[in-house]
Amino acid sequence: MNLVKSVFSLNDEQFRDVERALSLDNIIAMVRPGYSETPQYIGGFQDFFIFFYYEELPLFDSELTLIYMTRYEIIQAFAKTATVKAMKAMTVGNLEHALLAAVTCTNIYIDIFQNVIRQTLPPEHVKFHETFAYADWQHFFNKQFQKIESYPKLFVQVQSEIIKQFWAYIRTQSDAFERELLKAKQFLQTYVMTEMRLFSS
Amino acid sequence: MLQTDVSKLLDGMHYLIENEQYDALFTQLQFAVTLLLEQQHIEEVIALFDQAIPILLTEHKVSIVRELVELVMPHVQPDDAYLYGKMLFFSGHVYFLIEETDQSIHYYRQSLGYFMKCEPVPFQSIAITLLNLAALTEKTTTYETQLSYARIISVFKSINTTDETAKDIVNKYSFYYETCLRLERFDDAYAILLKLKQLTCPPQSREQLQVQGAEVMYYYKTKQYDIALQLVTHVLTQFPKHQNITIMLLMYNVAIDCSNKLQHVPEAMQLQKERDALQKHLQMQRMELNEKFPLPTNTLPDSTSLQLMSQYVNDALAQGTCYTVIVYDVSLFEEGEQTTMLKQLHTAMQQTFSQPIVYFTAINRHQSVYVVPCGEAHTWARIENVLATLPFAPSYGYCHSSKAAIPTFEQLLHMSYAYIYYAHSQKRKVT
Repeated sequence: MNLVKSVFSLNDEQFRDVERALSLDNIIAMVRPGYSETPQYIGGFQDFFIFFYYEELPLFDSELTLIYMTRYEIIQAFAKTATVKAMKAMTVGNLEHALLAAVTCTNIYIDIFQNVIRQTLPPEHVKFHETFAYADWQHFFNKQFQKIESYPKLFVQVQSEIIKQFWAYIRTQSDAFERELLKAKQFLQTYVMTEMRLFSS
Repeated sequence: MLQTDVSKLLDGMHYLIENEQYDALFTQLQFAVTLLLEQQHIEEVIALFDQAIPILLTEHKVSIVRELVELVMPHVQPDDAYLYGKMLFFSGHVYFLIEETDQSIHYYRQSLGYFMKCEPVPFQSIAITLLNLAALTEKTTTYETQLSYARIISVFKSINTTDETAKDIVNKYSFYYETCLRLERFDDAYAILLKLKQLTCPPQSREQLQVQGAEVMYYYKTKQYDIALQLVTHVLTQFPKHQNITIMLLMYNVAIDCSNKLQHVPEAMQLQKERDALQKHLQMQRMELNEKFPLPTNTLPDSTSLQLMSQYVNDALAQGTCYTVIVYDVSLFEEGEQTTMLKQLHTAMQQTFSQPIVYFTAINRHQSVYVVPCGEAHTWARIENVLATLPFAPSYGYCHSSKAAIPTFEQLLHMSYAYIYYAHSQKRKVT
C-alpha cells in the first residue's frame, strides 16, 4: 500500500515506521473489501495507525487538516472515547497491535459512512464524493485548480456535510457507536492475550 | 427439479471423503452441488466444500474445483460475508495451485475483507488465508514484514482453540519457527524449540518427526554441523522413510550437506543414493495418484454402454416416459467375488422384474445399473424380491422420474449413488 499524505507532521523516523506498517499489505487487506486501495480510506487507516502506535502523538499539520478535514474530524471523534483510549494502551510501540487496531477502526468508519452517512447525503454529493475518492484532495487547493475556481466550494460543502452527519450519528447513536468500538477492543484484547499465552516463556 | 433428502446426500458425500473414494467423490460432488444450489441449500454446499476441496486440491483436481467454485459463486451474495469470503478463498486456492500468483493474491486478500465482516470473526480461516498469502508474497517483502506475518498467523491460529494436542501445538508454531530460522532470528527460534521439545508426542508420529526435525534445522542453520548430523542420523534411522516423505527428503538434504561440510565424503555419497531412491519413490506415488480407476466393459451379457444408455433414456424421459434407475453396489465385499455377485444379481433381476428391463450395464467392477419402466410402489417390492433370492446383501439406490419433474438420466443415476453412499455411511456408524 502506498503512503498518502498524513494529517500529522511526521519526522523521518516516523515516516519510516508508517512505511513499514503499510508494507504489511496482507493485513491491510482486512479492511472492508474495495476500500483498502482508496486513498481517502488509506489516509484514514494511516491516521489511525499513527494514533495507536505513538504514545505521544505527532503534531497535526495545520494546512493538511484543512484539506483532509474529514479524516481530521474522524480521528478526533474516535480518540475522544474511553474505549479507543483503552485500546491504545494495548498498542503503543507495537506495530502489529497498532495495525490491527487501525484495521478495526477504519472498518467501523467505513460502515458508518456506507450505512448511515451515505444514505443522508444528497445524491449529487454522493456522486461527487465517490468520483474524487481516488484523487488526492490537495489538488483542489493547487494553483492549477485555482484558475478554474478560486475556492473548491462544492468539495468543502460535501466534506462539511459528511462531517456534520458523522457527528450527528455519534451523538444520536452513541450506544451503537460504542458497541462497535467495544467489539474492536475485544478483537484486539483476544489477539493480545492469545499472543501472550503463545509466546510467553 | 429432483427432490432429495439433503442430509442423506451429505452423509453419503462425507462417507466418500472419509473412505478416500476420490473417483466417486469427484463425480458426485458436481452432481450434489448442482442439486443443492437448485434447492437453495447454500450453507450445505459450503460445508461440503470445506471438507472436500482440500482433498480435491491435494489430488490435483484443480479444474474440478475451479468449475465448482464458478458454479456456486453466482448464487452467493456479497451480503453473506462468510459464504462469499469462503468462495473467494477457494478461488484463491485454485489460482495458487495453477501458479497464477497475482490472481491468487487478489482473491485471498478479497476474502480477508469479507471474513472481517463476519460475527464471530473466523480466525482459523483468516490464519490459513494469511499463511498462504505469506508464502505467495515472500519474495516481495522484507524480513521484518515476514516475521510480522508469521507472528500474526501463529496468534490467529491459536485464538479460541482448546484441548490442544501436540499436533495442534506444533501446527501453531511451525510457520513462525521456520520464519525465525530463515531470517536468522535464532534466539526467538530457540525459545520456540524449547516449547516444542516439552511436548509429549506419540512415538513415530508426524508431530514427533516435526519436533525432531525442528531441532535438526536449528543446529543446521546455526552451523553446528556436528550436532545437526548426529540428530539427523537418528531421525533417518528412527522414522519410516516412506511416510512423511517431504520431511524425510529435507532431512536427507541436511544430512548430506552436513556430511560434506564435515568432510565425511563416503557417508555423503551413500546418503545421496538413499535420498535419490526416496525421491523416485515419491515420484512413483504421485504418478499412481494421477491414474484413473479403469472401467471394465462387458462384465454382464448383452449390456449397453453407459453412454448409450444415457442417450436413450434421456430421449425417452424428454418425451414423458417414466423410468426408475436402480444401482447395485457390492464394493463392501471381497474384490474377487464382486463380478460373480453382479452376475447373480443380474439373474435375480431378470427373473423378478415382470416387465422387461429396458437397459442395464456394469458401471465398474462393483456396480451395475438398471433402467426399468415402473414407479415407486412397484420398485421397492420388486427390489425386496430380488434381494430375497440372493445369498448376499448388496447396497442399492434407486430414483424414479415422474411427469411432473423430468430429470436427466445422470441425475437419476447420481441420486441413486447418493442413497448407496448414505447407506454405507450409516453402516460405518453402526460398526
